[in-house]
Amino acid sequence: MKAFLLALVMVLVAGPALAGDPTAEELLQRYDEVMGPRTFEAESQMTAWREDGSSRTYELRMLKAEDDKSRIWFKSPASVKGQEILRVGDNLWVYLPSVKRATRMANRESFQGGDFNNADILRVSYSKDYTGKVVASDVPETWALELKAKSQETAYDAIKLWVRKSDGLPVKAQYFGTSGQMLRSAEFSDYVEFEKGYQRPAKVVMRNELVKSRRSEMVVKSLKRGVEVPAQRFTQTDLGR
Amino acid sequence: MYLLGVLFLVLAAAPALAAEVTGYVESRTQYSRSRVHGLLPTDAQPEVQQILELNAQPRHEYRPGGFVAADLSLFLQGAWRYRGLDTEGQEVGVPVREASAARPFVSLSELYVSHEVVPALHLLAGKKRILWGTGWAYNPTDLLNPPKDPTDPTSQRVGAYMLRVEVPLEKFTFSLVASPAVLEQESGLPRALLVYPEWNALDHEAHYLLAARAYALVANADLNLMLFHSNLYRDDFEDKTQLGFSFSRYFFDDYELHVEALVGRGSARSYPTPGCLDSGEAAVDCFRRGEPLISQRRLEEKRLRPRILVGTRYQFSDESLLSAEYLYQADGLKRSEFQDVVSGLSLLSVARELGLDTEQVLEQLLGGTEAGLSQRFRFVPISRHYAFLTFQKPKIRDDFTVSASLIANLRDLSGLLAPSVAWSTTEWMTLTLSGFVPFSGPSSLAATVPATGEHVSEFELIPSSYRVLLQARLFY
Repeated sequence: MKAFLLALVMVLVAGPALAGDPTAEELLQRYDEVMGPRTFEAESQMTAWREDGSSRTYELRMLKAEDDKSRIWFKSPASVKGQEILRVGDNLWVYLPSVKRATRMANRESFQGGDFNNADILRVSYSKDYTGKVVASDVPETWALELKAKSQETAYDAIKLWVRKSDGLPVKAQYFGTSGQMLRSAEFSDYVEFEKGYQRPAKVVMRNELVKSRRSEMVVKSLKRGVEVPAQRFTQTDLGR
Repeated sequence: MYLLGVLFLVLAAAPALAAEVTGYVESRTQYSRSRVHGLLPTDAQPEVQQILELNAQPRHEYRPGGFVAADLSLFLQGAWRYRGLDTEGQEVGVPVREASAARPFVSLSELYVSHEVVPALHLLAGKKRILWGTGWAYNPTDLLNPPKDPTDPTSQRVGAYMLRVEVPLEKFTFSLVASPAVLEQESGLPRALLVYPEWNALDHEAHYLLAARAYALVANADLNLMLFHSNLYRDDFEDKTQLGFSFSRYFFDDYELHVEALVGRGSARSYPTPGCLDSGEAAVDCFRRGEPLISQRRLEEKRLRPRILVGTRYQFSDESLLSAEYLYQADGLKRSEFQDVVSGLSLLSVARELGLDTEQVLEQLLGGTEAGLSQRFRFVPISRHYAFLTFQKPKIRDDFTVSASLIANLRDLSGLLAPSVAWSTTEWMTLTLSGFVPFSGPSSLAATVPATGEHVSEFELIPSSYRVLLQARLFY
């Protein structure tokens, strides 16, 4: 009887805590909602820092629609102005104004020569691409998640992700290849409320773990969710228009 | 020209939502070693050339989905050191014969208005480069645009005059294009479209191309089905219908596969008449019999003569890219026909020594080219089997890209190797150093010059032994 009462007390005490812990699926959905809203239009700046300490800065406009569709226009510098990237599901095209045509490209190509790859920018759908589990976190006030790729289509084989306990916003991440080697790591910062009730990190610094002196920084300058865009903007034939 | 005027008026008069000008300034310094003992003339080809290109690409958006755009270049050029042979067959400097070589000229690559009536209906009028095929180095279905340089697929920007109606849907796009041929042009600007002007009426026919294209994104693949109907458009086909097809898809993440094909009956290619070019006497005999020395004998042929390109690209983990393509042309020259071409060229070199103008015949034998942007290298494939290989390694010490292109005639194993190094010195300047080295195949596969017994393969016909090109491009 005594043992039964103790067990009951344990359940009553522990119950609320267990019910309050989000599942890995819930955390991943929250990540996707924050970092890749269903539809949005954003103006961003990417700076790639290279081994010699110099940097290259790119201005870009991004449009995202439902069904894994996104499109990017490069606005500066002049050497890449007019370039576009389109993603529809697993398909990725690049439009080069110098050739005046679109060609297919692989998902893992680096994004404009920086340390992000195309999937980092154009495919933010972790709940679709990865299975996750919550693990013990070494960062205070965060949940830690270990993600494993569901297929070989993804840019990384595994990801370790830390999100804030308070609102589920990402804090940092580590990205691993099939060999288990860490390829990149990311730090999320500058949390900005772009719309009422919608906050996200405005700055992501992606470090190249294979070449430590390299890193790229993406700063979101403006972001508007819920934009209505014709389906034609996400077709290969619309590139260059 | 009337169309151009209307476009300029639209450009100037429309209220601007957004207007911008981009472009570049490029300096090209080239040294080319003339192959003075070759079969093609070199006396109109400078060994040293300096070109300055001032390019502007204005774009003026007059409403959402409606804009006028142009791509215009002014070329200033200087040319020096022309080489040829004297009467004794010794190499000598020759006076400049091509006065135009040093004259500035304007090249209009594009000038068009694009108007989105509704998202599912687009109209376009003007000069525009459009490419539906998926080939990288070469596009068999590209009947519209001037030929591009397979050693640098990024160097061709010249389009064709057209009216286009396009219906883009989510996974399908339907396009209709009507393009009149440019029949007279000066400095890259047209003086006559569709029909010859009365003061130079070479014929009274309409020269045009009509094209229809259906595009579909199916099973993660780009599919294009094309139908062309042409009349004396860039070739001598009259009322000719041809079918085109292209495909491109990634397999196993990193392997891209593409196919592009053009199928039609007959060929507009010129072929030497067998036996008529073996010697001067044979040519005179044929001439006396009223037999043409060169003819388009397959022009009306009923047999299908497809051109098919199959290619793949693979990306390595360090982002290096390897591209391999194979081109088959059913109307390309067979070995015996190439021998006839070499015999013909040998006779032409004798004719030139006698002071005859052989340029037109040369173009017939080797395929003509069109004035437009000056390219690093023009390629008109005349044989049946070609391979194109390109390897590119970017991001060497961040800013350097090394690449090498190879074009090879798979029948005689001659080819052209084009290595290059590009250095993006800043965000707005790129320096590129390129080389072009033609090489011959084995003698056993080459043709023979009847007069000398010398062996000649296709890429030995290029009138330079090698070329070196330094480009400096400043973007603005």
